[in-house]
Amino acid sequence: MNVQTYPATWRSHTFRAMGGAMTIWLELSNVATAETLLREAEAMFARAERRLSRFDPHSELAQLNANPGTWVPVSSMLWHVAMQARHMARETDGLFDFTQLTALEAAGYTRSFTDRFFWEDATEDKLEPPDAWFGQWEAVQVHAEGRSLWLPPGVKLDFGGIAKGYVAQQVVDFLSDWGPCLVDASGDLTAGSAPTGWPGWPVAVTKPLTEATANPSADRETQFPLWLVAGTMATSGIDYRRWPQNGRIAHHLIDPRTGQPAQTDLLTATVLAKTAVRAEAWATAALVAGHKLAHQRLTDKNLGAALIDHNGELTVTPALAPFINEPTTFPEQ
Amino acid sequence: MNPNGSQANRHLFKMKVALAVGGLITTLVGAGLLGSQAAATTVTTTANATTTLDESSSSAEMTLPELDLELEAIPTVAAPTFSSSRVVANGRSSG
Repeated sequence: MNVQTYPATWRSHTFRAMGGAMTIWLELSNVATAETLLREAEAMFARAERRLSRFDPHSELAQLNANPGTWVPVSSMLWHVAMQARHMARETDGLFDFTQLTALEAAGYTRSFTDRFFWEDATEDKLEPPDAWFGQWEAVQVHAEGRSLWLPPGVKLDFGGIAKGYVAQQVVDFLSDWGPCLVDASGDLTAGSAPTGWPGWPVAVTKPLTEATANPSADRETQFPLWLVAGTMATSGIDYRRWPQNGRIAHHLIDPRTGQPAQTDLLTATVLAKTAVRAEAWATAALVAGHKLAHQRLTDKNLGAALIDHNGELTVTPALAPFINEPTTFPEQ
Repeated sequence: MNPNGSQANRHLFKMKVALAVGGLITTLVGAGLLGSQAAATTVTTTANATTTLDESSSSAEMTLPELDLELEAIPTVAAPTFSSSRVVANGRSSG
């Protein structure tokens, strides 16, 4: 195990939220203030989870999903997440689609992965998914003055990584008033400004899990390191949450073009963007699109991205290429 | 009777007709523009949706969050060579 040393002013706090482990870093000399701020950051995740979880039947999102065909007034948080999700669905030409929950449930993902009954439900043979159509997200209607949403019958929302990214961005915006910070939301990293004297936060893209390295809690091998500053590095993958169903391997990323778990030649897609929501949406869209289309679209958008296929082959977009494999000086501590 | 007055009345009448016709044309053109604008903002329709967005929906389009649609400057700096022991966080998929 590596023994890691960081400047004494870097405070960190680890907790569980939104089905995974969260670690928040904050550079601040005052210990008591840092602890108070980090606890508030944890509370921000908890509040968001109570509104946006699809697994909690009492959450605001669950209540919205339970009332299709009617206008439902929603909170400011749910409204903003929904508007940003619509924006990203449009920008990705529907490859990211936040209306695929019914298809995801039909694929077996009906409980949180942390739920001990997950495997009992997920691995049962399921019926074919209900009818869905590409571009389904456009059927969700919005009413700005009433801050209300209307879901067509049969359509349910799941914001997935978008929700996590939205909250991570809120936390970074909040903590940045106090000092440089980094939010590690189960592997999706959102950074504020760089720590004092450093070019950025030292982070890495890890290699995907394979059959040989299937233990997700073990130390993961590094694909390449990177300085992260004022932006997000989000990773989508089908190397982690997958289960057998109907004689095939199912996973949590639905291809909106088919309504089925994506048949993709990519194992993971990592995207860097200035906002967390954009990085999250494009990471999902890239994985669904597959290597060729993903590389083309990400290059067109000038987004930094790393694509790793089933053979472990790494491809980076032209925007990211200059930032890896070149030597630089590591700051003195 | 003042012939000049009669001529002035005819000019006045012509002017009124011209203004009326001009106003009508302006109205028609304006209506056409508004119609095309309305069509442009009626975006949330689908193959099986029976309703289209009303005026309030177009305002929803205008209140979309301001995301950066310009070419993206990626959030990283000079290329690093630090080892994995220096890393504070690992980017990975979590489902």
